Amino acid sequence: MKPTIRKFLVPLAALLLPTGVLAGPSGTLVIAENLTPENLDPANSQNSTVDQLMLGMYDTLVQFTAGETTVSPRLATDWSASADGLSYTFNLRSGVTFHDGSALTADDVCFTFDRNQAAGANALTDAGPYDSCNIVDDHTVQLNLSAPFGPFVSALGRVYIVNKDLVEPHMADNHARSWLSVNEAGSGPYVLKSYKPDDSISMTAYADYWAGWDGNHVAEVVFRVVPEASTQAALLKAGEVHIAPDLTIDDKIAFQGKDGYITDIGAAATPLYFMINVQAGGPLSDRLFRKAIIMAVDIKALCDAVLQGFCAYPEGPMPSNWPGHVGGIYPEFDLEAAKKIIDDNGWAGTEVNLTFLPEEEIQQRASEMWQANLAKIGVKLNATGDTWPALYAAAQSLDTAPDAGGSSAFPPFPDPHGILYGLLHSSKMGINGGTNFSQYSNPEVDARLDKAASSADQAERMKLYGEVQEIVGNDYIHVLVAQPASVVTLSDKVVGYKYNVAHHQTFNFMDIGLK
Amino acid sequence: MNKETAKNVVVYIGQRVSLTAIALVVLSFMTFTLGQLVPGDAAVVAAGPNAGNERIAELRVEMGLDLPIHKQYAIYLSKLSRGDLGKSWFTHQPIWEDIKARLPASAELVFLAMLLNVLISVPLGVLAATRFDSKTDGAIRLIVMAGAGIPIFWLGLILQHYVAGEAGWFPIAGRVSFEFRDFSGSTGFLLIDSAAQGEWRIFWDALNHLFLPAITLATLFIAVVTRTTRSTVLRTLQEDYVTLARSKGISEYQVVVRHALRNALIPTITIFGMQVGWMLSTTILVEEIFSRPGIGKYAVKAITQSDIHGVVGVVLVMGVIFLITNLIVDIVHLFLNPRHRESVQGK
Amino acid sequence: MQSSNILEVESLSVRFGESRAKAVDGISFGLTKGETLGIAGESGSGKTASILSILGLHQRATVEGSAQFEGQELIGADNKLLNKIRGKRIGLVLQDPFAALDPVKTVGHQISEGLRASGWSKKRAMNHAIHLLEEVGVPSASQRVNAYPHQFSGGMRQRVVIAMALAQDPDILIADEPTTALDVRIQKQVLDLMKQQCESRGMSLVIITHDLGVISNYTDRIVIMYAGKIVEESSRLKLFDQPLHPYTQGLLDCLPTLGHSENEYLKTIGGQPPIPGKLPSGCRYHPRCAFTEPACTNGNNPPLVPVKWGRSACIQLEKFLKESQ
Ligand SMILES: Nc1ncnc2c1ncn2[C@@H]1O[C@H](COP(=O)(O)OP(=O)(O)O)[C@@H](O)[C@H]1O
Ligand code: SF4
Ligand SMILES: [Mg+2]
Repeated sequence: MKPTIRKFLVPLAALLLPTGVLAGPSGTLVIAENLTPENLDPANSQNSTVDQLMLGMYDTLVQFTAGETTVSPRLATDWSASADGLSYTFNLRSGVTFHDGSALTADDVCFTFDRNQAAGANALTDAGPYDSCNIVDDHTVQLNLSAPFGPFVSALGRVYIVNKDLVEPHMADNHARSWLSVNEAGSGPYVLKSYKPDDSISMTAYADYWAGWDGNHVAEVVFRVVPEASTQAALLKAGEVHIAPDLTIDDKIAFQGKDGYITDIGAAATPLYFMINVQAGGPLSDRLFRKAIIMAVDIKALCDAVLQGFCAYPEGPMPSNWPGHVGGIYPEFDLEAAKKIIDDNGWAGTEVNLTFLPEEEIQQRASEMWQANLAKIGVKLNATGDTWPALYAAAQSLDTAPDAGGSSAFPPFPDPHGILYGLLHSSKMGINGGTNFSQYSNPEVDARLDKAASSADQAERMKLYGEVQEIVGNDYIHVLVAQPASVVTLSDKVVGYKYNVAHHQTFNFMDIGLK
Repeated sequence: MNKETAKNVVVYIGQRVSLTAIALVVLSFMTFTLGQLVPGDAAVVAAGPNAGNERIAELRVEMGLDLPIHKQYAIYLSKLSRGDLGKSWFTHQPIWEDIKARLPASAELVFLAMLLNVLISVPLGVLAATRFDSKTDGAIRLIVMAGAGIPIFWLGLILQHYVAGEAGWFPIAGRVSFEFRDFSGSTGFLLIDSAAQGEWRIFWDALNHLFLPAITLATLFIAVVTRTTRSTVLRTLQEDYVTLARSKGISEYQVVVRHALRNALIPTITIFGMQVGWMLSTTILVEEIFSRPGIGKYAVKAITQSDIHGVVGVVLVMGVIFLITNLIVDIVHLFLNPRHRESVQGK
Repeated sequence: MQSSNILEVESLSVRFGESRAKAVDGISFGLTKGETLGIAGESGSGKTASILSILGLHQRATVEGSAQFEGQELIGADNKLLNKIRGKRIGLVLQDPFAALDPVKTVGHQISEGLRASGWSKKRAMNHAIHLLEEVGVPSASQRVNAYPHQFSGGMRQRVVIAMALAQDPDILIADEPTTALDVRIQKQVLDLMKQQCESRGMSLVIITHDLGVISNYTDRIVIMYAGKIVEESSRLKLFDQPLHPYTQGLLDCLPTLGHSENEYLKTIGGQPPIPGKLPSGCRYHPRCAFTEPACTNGNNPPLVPVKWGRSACIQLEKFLKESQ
């Protein structure tokens, strides 16, 4: 029965033959993926499993390329903002065609924005006060805001432009959600070939892609859904997949430095927070108590022991590689000092309830570690695992909100706003239906966040965000527990892969080739 | 079966089907109501992270979640009566389409596992019973104990690592080899589609891919049935009618197969019937390891996403499968057990 | 062994499982052609174990001694040889007609099964089954042949079992408590049927029972078993007239006598028979015997001593012989 594997290897090898003489994309890149994309709708691009496919099938106005933290042109060759910051004008590249051959024009761009807005798409969640779209001419669009919003252009990196002619006929059916969930209407470098949920998704190179196919590119990209980490390792070893992003930490270490494999370590920004509910009453409403329990989180040990060093040491509310990050905010891990605070104030015996998401192993391990350390200083942590919707629902009322909640942030573009606003602004408190599970409301912080959001002056914005980090650091409202790196194991046949902090867990298809 | 009996059997099956249809409606109601009690809000999930309160409220209206539960259910029922299971809140596809796309893979797995189960457990149980207290019996009992004790997940990983990965005898994962990945057919059942199109290489390849998952899935069930077959055959072997069958001077094989086993099959078939549903709900463990799509994963996703229509849809489809397997078991019983046939006839 | 007996049982012992206790302990008896032999004794005395062992039908028993059918040794014989005897030369009827028939096979199938195994065509075997059913008195046999056991009454089932045993025209019919599970009314019909079949076929008959009354009219010779041993053997007439062994007397005393109403309380022998492995020393019957003497309680079980018309195993045999004269 051995032939099964050989049978597979032969055609793959044929596809992988060096293509020095042949111009154009060649070879098939196979990527293991632990999750199945729920749908292929660009409206759902906040979901990274969907986003990774959109990057291949669609284009955006602007983009963050891998390794960059500032936007660069894609469909838009250039853009400008009005003086009042309420409108942005984009000049569109000409000669761009959708996969059906029709030209991409301003009409398609406005249709895309209108559709996302009407559908309540999460693709626009971060685009702040986006209001409307005007067609100036075939290759010029104007996007209007209801209020100035500094990071507006950055927030457009996940708004994928759809082909109006194809999508419009389906709009009556839930804003074409059903149709776009299984069909593709893009202009991107790759065309959807097949979509088999929980099995595989395949895309082939679009010959007429506007950026052209000079250089080393693959002709087909296949995502194989492989939920089990150990299966990914087995498939990588057997040569059945080229990229295995979701290995266990042990396997990642085992493949590191091994002949035939590459380990890419990317500075990611998917911070995990334990947010402390400042409105919980009792000792929790005292910043000193919160300081003490934060001092019991051994951030470094967690990084070293659980993440095996594939991580950075967080020092404040933002990931250390993020623009605007300020370090040295958090108190050092110090159980003795923490115990002294607890004892001096007679807080020994206090119970704290934490709700975390056991789906993420790091949350589980961090909770256990925190629990053990808190026990040493006389505080009892009751940690309960639950689902995201359940935690979100509980946080909506102070009666049900946990004393502390575990939550990871997946900021969609490299800007402090993407993290700090949702984490700290009073309008985003859990009781207001947001993700500020600290239920933290501080006018000083709100004012600075609002001002920074509406400003277009980058230097001023960074200064304001710096101040915000200092203030909340003093209020001890949360702790950034872990900042895991992105560790992706690849076959050494793959060239050009680079981690993209603006598109976590995605692949820079246009740069990747096969040796 | 004579004509009269056949007619009665048809009437009986009709009664069973309609009773189960009622049960399914009750089941849908219960699932629907239970779904409301689960904390978490489908709209929150659908909106995604960082969505504001207004957006969630909008979605809630769009999804009909703002209506009182009995209204939601009434709407659901009226759709259901038209054969519409509703749309998924995360795939945005008709739930029936979603299920149709995922069920065949699981069904194929369950089918093969069940086949292995029947082919292995019954002979093994009979062998153990006829060799009662011998070395063979001891060995089989040991295997059964191990089979019943091994966690499915662990067994799958071990088989995958050694039998597929190291030895290379079977594929590591997936439904079909890479070269055949573009194959598709009208039913979604790879085995049926490939056979129908005369693509025997693909048929063989798909079967190859099914083998380790099916063994993994079947092991626990084989252990259970082997154990019960052994004890029922041991019991029927003690029956006077078996002693009398022997006293006729027929071969021991005929005694065991025609009389001891034939009677032991009646309770065994019932167990097989129950196992189909049980297996179907266990496939997800195996499918995760061997990277196979399946209905279990869809169900879990629907549950974690609070997609109540998805959950109810899966529950209903499972219910129908349950009904069908029960009916099959019942029909097999009608053939195996003259008493049962008579009780049906009497109705 | 020189013998005119069609079946000759010699020192037959049967043990179950690991325990060395003998459920049947060295019994010997013979059966002549055409003869009707009764084997009687309380439940548990080893009657069933004896006859099943002879046919090699006790799956988990260790059997010692000898049982020869027409000079052919059956004990220790392989299935191949035994299958030539089973059914074809010796037919078997068991006690409980509700358990004796396979519930999922038609009676026709079960009656004809042995014939089919010997190469009869299905049609011929079925026709024969119908004929047999008629012979044993099952009405509308040609339809009933396709019926299942549960569609018959207890008495009819026992007739089916008898038809099954007669199917291959054996030389011996062994019936183990054939009427115990039946209505009193039907008991006689079934016994008459067997007797009549044996006579017309020249077949030997062994009737096993725990109730001497059942066989009082049917047997030529009777063997009495107690605790795995034969304690007395006698002709039918002698046994009822002049029982030699106190156990036989006890059994006879328990029989309802004419003139007594059926409801009247029947006498039973006091105490319980011993179980294999917990046998008393000396005479196995001594704890329950009305005539126990000190000598009865020591040593081995008394040996079977021949008398003119049979055998008896009691140390006071001489005394009883005299008394009864
Ligand atoms: N299969 C068996 N396993 C163990 N003991 C048995 C078995 N069959 C019978 N016996 C024992 O052997 C003894 C004789 O039983 P049996 O021959 O059935 O008695 P009877 O037929 O005279 O009533 C009893 O003590 C009974 O418990
Ligand atoms: S030997 Fe003694 S105890 Fe035994 S039967 Fe004879 S008299 Fe009774
Ligand atoms: Mg008996």
